[in-house]
Amino acid sequence: MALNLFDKPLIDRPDFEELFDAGRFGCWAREARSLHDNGFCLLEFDQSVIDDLTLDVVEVLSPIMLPQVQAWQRGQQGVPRLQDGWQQHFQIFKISQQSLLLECLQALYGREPFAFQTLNFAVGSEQHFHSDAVHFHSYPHGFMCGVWIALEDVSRDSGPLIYYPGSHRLPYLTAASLGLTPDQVAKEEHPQTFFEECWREAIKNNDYTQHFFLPKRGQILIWHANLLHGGEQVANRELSRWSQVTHYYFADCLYTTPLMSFDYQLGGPTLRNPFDIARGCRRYGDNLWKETGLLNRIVLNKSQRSIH
Amino acid sequence: MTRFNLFKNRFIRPQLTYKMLQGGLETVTPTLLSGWVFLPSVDLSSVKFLIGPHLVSQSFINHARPDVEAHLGVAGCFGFNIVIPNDFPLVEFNYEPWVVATSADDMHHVNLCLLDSRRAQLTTQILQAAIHPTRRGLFGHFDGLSPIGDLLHGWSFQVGKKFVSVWMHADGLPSKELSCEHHRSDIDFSFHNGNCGFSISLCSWPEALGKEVWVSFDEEGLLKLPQHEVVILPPA
Repeated sequence: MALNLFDKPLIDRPDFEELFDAGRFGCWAREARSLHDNGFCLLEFDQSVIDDLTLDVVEVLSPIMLPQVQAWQRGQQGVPRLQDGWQQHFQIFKISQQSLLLECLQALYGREPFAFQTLNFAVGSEQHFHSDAVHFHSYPHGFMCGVWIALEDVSRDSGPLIYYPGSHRLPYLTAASLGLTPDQVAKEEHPQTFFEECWREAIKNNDYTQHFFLPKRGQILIWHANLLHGGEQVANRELSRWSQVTHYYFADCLYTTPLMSFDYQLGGPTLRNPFDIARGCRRYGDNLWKETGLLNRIVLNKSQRSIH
Repeated sequence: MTRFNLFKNRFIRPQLTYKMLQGGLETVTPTLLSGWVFLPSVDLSSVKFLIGPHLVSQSFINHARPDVEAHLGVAGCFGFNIVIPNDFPLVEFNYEPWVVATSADDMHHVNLCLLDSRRAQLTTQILQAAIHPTRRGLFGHFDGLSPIGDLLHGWSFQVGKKFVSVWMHADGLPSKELSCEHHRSDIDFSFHNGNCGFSISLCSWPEALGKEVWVSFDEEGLLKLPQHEVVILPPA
């Protein structure tokens, strides 16, 4: 059990241009260029795959999520989301394990990817823009990405995904970099709010432009761990926006929760042992975890305790 | 006999042992490991810093070291610098850290120790001190005597910290803690404001006169600040 805490993602390496010119990314050169330069890239499944995957998921989830969607439409609850629906629904699992995605991610990052979390939405998420890298991240940095798949055509009024190209090059933030203490974070229901002012400032100072993702069904957006993204306010609550986000980590890293990672004197980083959806178990089993020799604390989240 | 020697020299290669290894680690700080290495008949190409099985950092052995070439009587680039990243996580492992030089064909792996024979046995302990989370991102240099010769000076800072302390040592004397707060306009790191200088007047430390002095990042004196040359104070 050897961690590689040195090699960076290929798309983030200082010698990216040399790798690119040498053809290191093969048929994924366009995606590599976009992810490196802009922090996102676009993909598309074949039409046959699109129909098979997307219609199935919507069909299965519609009756389950409908009551929550109706409550949200009446303003009685927040935006409904289904976390880790792959545990109950094979269709969600199947999307997360598409070979096209896995091959692409392997080529772009240079390590084996593994899906560790799925989120399904029936309507626009209306999330404040954020970097995923404060919620879950890795060391070496950058070995995490989000993959957003449109399960139906997305219109402007349905609260499309928004993102800020170039923002992936902002410094990675942690609770320690904001001087937060474990007490402060524990008392806040949504600790992401601590970071939002920094992101708003960064967008203003760097003149990042907000982009909307208005895809057709089956189109895919892959975003860099640090790309600022969120959900536009839903203008018309009668409109659905079926989508699936799958978050991927990559092999042989340390996995962390940066918004719970503090100065050494306050406990240091919070490590994760993420669930490997394909394997149906935690990435590092008990023996493997012991072999890492790590002495820091580890926090198990809901999906890590669950069994596929 | 002459013909046998010729045969032996040409066709029977001497048993390769790592006892023929020369070099090792010259500098171990929380942010940099450097040194040089040479093993006859083996093309050592890279050095790796590991904690147990985990790769922390690596580098090529490709720095020109004319002093080493002169010492060995062999031409080549035998120097290396391994950077320990400032952002390396503040984690601890129950493994020991070690440094290994490897050949280009990955057939040879040679553990490296400190070159200073008095400290070679402390290599693991010193590497452990360097990688300790409390010392992440510590830089520094001991400049020695000031041009006028009335004080000892240098600088040190830690990324993300306002000030740090260093400890000055002289053989047989208790170490002196020095705060690094003086402005140093010549230190131009983008992640520090330059208030990182330390100094001590020779007048305030008369008992050290005539002795060798050096500075460390830690109170125990395991992690020496890099310095260009040995500093021996003039006698009283």
